[in-house]
Amino acid sequence: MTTVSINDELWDRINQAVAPMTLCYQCGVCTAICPLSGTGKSPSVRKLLRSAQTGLVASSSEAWLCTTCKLCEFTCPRGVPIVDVLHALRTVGFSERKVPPRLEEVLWKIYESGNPWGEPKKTRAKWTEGLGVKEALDGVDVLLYTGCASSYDARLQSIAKAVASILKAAGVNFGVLKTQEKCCGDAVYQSGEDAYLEELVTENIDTIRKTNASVVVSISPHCFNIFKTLYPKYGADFRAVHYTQLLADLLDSGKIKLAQPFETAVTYHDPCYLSRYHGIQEEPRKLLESIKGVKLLEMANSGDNTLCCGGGGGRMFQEDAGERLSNIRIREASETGAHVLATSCPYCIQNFEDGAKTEGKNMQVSDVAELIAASMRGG
Amino acid sequence: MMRDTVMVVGAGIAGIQAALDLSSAGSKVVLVEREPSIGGKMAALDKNFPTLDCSICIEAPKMSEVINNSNIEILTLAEVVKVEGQAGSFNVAIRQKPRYVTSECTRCDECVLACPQILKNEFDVGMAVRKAIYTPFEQAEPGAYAIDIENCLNEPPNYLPCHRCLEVCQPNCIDFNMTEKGLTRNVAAIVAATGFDLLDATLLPEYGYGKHPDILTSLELERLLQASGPSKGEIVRPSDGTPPENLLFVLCVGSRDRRFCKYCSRVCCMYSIKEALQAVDHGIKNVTVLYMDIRAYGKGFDEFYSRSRREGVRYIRGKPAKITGDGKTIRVRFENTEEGQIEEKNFDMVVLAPAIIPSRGLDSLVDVLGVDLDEDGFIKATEIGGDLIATTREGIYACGCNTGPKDIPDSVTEAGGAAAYSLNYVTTRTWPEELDVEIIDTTGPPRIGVFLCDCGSNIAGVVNVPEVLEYTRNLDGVAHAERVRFACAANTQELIGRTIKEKKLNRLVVAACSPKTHGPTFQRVASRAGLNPYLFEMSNVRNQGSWVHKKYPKEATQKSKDLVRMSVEKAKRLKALATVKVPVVQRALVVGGGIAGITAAANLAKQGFETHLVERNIELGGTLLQLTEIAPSGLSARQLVQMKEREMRDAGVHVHSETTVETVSGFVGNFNVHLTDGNTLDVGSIVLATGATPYQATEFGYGDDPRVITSLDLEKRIGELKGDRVTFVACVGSRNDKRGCSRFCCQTMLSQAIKLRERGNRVRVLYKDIRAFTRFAEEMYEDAARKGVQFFQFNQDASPEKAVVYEMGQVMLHDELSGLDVTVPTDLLVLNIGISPEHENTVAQQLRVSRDSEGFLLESHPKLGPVEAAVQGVFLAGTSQGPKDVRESVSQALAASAKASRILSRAEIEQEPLAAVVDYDKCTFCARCIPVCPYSAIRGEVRKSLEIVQAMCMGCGGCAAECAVDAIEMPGFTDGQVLAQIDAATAENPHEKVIVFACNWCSYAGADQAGISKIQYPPSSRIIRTMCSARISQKLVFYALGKGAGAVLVTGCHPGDCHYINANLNTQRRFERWRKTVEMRGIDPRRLQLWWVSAAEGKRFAEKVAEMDELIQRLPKTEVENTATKLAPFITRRAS
Repeated sequence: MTTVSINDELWDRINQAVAPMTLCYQCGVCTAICPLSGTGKSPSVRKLLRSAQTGLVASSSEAWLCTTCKLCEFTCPRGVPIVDVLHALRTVGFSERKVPPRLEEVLWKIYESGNPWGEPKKTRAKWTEGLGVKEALDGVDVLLYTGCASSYDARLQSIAKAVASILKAAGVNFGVLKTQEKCCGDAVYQSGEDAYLEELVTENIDTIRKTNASVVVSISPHCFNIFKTLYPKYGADFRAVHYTQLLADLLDSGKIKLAQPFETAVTYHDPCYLSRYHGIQEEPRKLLESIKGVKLLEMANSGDNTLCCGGGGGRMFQEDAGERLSNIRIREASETGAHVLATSCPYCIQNFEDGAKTEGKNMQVSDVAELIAASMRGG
Repeated sequence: MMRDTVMVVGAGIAGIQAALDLSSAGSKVVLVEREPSIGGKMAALDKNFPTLDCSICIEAPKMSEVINNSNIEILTLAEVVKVEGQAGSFNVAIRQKPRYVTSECTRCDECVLACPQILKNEFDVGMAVRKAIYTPFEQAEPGAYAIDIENCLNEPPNYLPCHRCLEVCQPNCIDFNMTEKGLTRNVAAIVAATGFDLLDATLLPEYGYGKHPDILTSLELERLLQASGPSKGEIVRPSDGTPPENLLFVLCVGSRDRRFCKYCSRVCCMYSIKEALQAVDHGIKNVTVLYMDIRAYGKGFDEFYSRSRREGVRYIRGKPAKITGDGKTIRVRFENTEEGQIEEKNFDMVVLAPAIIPSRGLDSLVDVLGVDLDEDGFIKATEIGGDLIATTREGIYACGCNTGPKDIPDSVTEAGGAAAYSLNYVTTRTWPEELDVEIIDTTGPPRIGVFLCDCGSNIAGVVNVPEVLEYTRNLDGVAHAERVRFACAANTQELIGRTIKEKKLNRLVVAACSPKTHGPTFQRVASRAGLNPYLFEMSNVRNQGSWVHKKYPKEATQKSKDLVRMSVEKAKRLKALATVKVPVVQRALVVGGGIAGITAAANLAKQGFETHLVERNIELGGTLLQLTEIAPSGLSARQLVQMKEREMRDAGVHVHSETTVETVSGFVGNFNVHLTDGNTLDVGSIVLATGATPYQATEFGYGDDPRVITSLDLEKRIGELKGDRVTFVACVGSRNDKRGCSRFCCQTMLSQAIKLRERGNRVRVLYKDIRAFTRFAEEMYEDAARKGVQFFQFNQDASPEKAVVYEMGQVMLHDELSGLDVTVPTDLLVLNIGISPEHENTVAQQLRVSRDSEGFLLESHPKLGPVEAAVQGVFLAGTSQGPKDVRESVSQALAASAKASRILSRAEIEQEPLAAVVDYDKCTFCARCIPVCPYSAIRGEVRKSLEIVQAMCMGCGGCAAECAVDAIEMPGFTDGQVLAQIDAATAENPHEKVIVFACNWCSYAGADQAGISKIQYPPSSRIIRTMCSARISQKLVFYALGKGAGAVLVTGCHPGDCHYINANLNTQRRFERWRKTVEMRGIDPRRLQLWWVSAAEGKRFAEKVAEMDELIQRLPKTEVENTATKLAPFITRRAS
């Protein structure tokens, strides 16, 4: 075996970014609890932490396997911010050009087209056609941030439409950036490229400021998360919310009126970026239960213990080597006996629809907003 | 107000020890316990680590000592509700719940059978049932039974009175009219000893506790392991009662975990190792332990850990991520961090070691006491004096687990420390008064009174008591025989006393239950009647008769007759004995002026004793003078020494510096000491605080290479270090085949590492296990990690020199956790050293204080006697007894002071008159007895002189058995008395009898346990009790065989458990010789056997007796008949 010398410079760099990484006492719970550890292709989380805490940063692209679901952090006895440490390792890896090629492509596409798929800028607001959605730059109270997935994907556009129609019905003064909207930066952050991230975020903050909106409501929990946690560091002063929070408030204040009952058993999947990252677990359930006839069933793993769909951390743009987490989740959902799997994240929706197909389960995958909008229409 | 009483809150082992230390030093004690029985958690444990002592067996004698001490007032079911006043005079209000059972209770158990309420038994952690009237456990004191009124049908809202227990209680001792009492006591000081609870394991849902019946807590396993527990000592799966094949132990369940308890619970590693070892002994095939760091920090712990590995326990470094139960199997998913592999394994039983947390209700008790809690909810120790005993309120002290997790020896040591502090406020010392009664003249011919107890139906239901009574009346020497319903009932006790006086009885025999539980009761009855208490004998016809031979009433009756006759014959030969009084010089000597010596001397002087301290150096302070800061308290070492020294000098201690002890002789109460400064002192008690020396490192070129220093060097130079990159190597000179863990060095290293890191150094620690077990040490570990100290684990089984290479400013090692060979640039290499025992220790040698296998001074018992030397009157403090940190040294020094106080506070000390007596008419001065004495109490020279120092003799009788000319007599167990018992036992049909010799402490108690557990065995055994199996001589054994006994069984404590250090090894040695003789003489060797039985092993006892019975059934008649002839040369004397 070759001898490796510990690298003080590298260690300093990671330690400055995420000091508490050194807290880890190497129990290995993170490695064993990692949802990917059941799929055949998993990172050894503990060893990644070990390489960070000793300054033995091994040349490995393992850090990009992580879906950033944070399940490990919830069971870590030492309270190590594991996902942040892995991110620090990604930034180190990025500077060493270890970033997976697919993510590199994504970066270029965002740079060129403002979205990870390289879709044309001008079609970004196509989904708003005929909905009478305001142009946010004209000045609004609330900015609805569509996000790249819901802007371009034909299936996911329906979520954006649903949210917009609900907000409209509830009388919210909101608008959309339309073609001026750009990637929130989550995919950039996940690649470990910090320099471009800064440029993008600063640009987005400027654009948002021009709308005069004090609240930015996101459809994707990933956009919501980066708005809430990273944007303030670059001077953002708007309030970031997820649409389920806003809708729950509107429901409470009686501005959402549901008419059409929906006699069915629904199970709700907590997106990691809502439940574990921000503790948003009650709001979507409240919305679902407000629909008459809905019987809410819980999966074996929910709330803090929710099982990742496999889409976070930049995994949405890469191929999975082993079994897909979404397939496992579909099986769990199906075990509840529910006919509808509801969630509130476009990545989850996309992964589960794929999963339902490959698993051959007759499971309707819907966004909470879609179900609410349907129930409102019925009235 | 007289300042003569101290209150102790909590009667677990710490509270019990505090009460005993206080009362024997002359303080009255109010012992408050909220449960119905004293004993605490220790009573629930099966065996202790690493001694494998039966836990209740070693605790029960302490419990009965408390019960029988009239200066200790025990208030069970009681809680402290208000405390007013200040140190020296606290007024305490106590609320005591009614017990509903009076002290007349005879423990017949009829009420329990009658009670219809079936409830979970808390003592068995809910794994067994109890009734609403119940005894928490068999050895429960005071008064076994209590009624759980909340679950009793007689309590509203249950409007239909039940009264079933009342109806069956023949002594009428159930009283539903008892009410809650409010009491007040004035006390000079208060000791809180409230113990701990275990974290509720359901709080960690990922471990599946409560979701699968075969996922247990460690305490539940302890109950399964205990012979009297719900599974009668078998490890079985609660799901189906079958033994598991794959057993997993999980450590750190909620400990060292930010989500629950960030501290280390300190004892779980060791008890889990112990349980794992027991599981292997129980024949469980695969036993695995999942651990993070093995914290085997105490004396003999590392060796115990190694032993478990040798015997097949598998240790995997890792922590479960998920434990899920499904049907029969339990799936456990974890990463094996040594292999870097995720494993998902099936087990059929999982045992969790939950964190130790403050006991329920401690938060409200501290409000009443007016003391503070620390951030974890334990009682906050001020630590100003270096210990964890002083709380934030003067006059209130804490000991045991209420200031943080601790194991038993640390708890009892602190108990002694709390007693020592409290004694500073006790100005009036009192002892139980002697009875003023007319003493009966016992010189005439024996007039024996025999009382035969029915014990309700317990005895009379099986044994034909009238027949035994008739038989007894006709026995020679019996002046009075009477049948009583309950001998121990208060009214019967009175009757017995009256009868003794009226009938002028001069010997007392009670045929009832065990002398171990009830002997002292009847001895007191005799004393109160004016009869010497040593003229009393008991026949255990219940535990050895009716309870174990239910199906053989005829044989049980015959056995009872034999047992009574044996007692009567022994009673005839009993002599009145007077407790021995030894005068005491009320002056103390403390040897060694380190932190331990200073602390002990200061406390003794404060208690008012003339105290001398001897220190070989000019300056006091010992090793602490070489340190700057004490970890983890952060106290300045020098300031602590200065403060303590000032306190000591103010108290008036005579300091002899630059002085050593030249010679010391004498015994407890009367030691004679010559000092090198020319002084000669007579002292009553000696505290040895002679310290230890830092390990002299030679590793890694230390001494030649200036870049290699020790942790002690670093301590001196920490402010002026050169070089940026510092690497520590742990365990240099510790944890090898010669030495165990040095206990304090991890915390020293962590503290130094933090300091260097704070200065901006790059700091690396190379270690085997981080043993941050003491209070706030794990927090220090966490802090060091947070601050960026880098930790590298090297091979546990290699010495640091083997595992770590240091050359050219680089350290190389295999990092177990990354699996890589790592190079660490190093400007300064710090060897983290522990301590070594003093090479020479003349004082200890002259006092005959033994050393342990590592060379540290040997304590009298690793669990319950960590402060006492085996030599009476000599106490151990600080590192002379083993590696310790400052906290532990100070607490042990205080405890030593409390123990010395129990000797020094009285002008004379009393000893049980059981010491061996030499008959100089017979003694040939062959001196054979000298080496067998475990206490070195026999002095002399071959063919010239011989003396048994009464004050040093503990009465095991090993010398008497060794003596070839019968020149040594054991009072209470003389040859004449034992031979008479043998004669009586073999008077009829001797070939049908097995003579069983049993030692007082273990095997006799084991036979009692068989009775308590109602384990049935054949009625052929006749038990003769002596204090120790070492008392049994060739003469006694061959006499029994010669008398025609079918077989002889010698029993005693397991080796290592002996209550007389190691006296029973003599038994073993002799036994091998007897057995050879027997064999050579053509006698079936199976007729003479040796068998070790612990006090908990009733089943083991019964099984052996059954086996012996089967043997004698099959013996040819001639075999027995010819024995006497064959052994004729060895049978020298008949009973006189």
